[in-house]
Amino acid sequence: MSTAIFVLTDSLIGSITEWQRALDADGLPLRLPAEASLDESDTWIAQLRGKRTSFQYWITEPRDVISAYPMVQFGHDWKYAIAFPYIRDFAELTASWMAAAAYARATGGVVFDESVRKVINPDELVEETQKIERDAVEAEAEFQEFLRRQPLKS
Amino acid sequence: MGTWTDATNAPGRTRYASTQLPIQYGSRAWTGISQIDDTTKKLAEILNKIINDVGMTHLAPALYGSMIHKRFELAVIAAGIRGISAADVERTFLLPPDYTRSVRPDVVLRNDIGDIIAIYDVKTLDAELWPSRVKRFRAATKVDASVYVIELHVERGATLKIRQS
Repeated sequence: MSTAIFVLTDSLIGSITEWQRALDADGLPLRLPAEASLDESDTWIAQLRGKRTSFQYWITEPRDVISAYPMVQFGHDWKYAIAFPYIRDFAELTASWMAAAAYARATGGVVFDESVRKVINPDELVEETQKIERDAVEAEAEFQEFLRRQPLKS
Repeated sequence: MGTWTDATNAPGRTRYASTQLPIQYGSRAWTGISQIDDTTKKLAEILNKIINDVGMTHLAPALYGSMIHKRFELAVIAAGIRGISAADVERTFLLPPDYTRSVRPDVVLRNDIGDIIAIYDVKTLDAELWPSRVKRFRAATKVDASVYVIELHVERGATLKIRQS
């Protein structure tokens, strides 16, 4: 699956500490790995409300994002695009949104949700992310119910 | 036909109504290669059933997309389609060093000797399979431009469109 959200920003975040501080300031319950380096592997193990999860991110070309959606008003030619691809489970998706929201707010950027072609401004990001977290609980319950209804295979 | 009933366009409260969808096969959906075209049709029908089964939801669009993908992954594996093993569904492929990181196409289809002959990617709502993503898929799977990349796209207005990129 290659759908992602993107942080569009003119500056990169300086440290994990800065990123974590932005999460904490917004009350987003994601704990980044304090020992990690921003240059390390693209998959990060994190804690969401105390439970182990993970998310991916990497820096990509903003022109790829912007040119793919010419009808979207991105504001200006952003210097960086940081991709947060959706991964397999809903907790990971929630972690991606929280990490992206905090990154954008810490660096004065925006988040672009390509699934609805919407640029989400910093002021809206926390509320949007909280909605994602609430809906994710429901989505997980629906999915587990779907799995329970599947016929058992020998 | 399904009806799009988005009242607010707010990501958190968008609603999707989906009854049985029309499947629109784009003019370039077909390759003339029977294994690929048969698989395209099977995957489209699987996806169509999933969209129908998921039905109306008020989930945020990102979660709706993930829900569709998770069910699609299980259904494709369960279908036991020729040329698609469980390892060919949502498999991570590392990109060459001149690219960043990895990609995870939804499905890769192999011929009888194991070569990848088509790559399928599901897109929901307004997301698109960009040219650079197609390039990354081919680079990661080490195939050339002769290998088909086919998008199964669940669009706004509840249409399932099949097209080749």
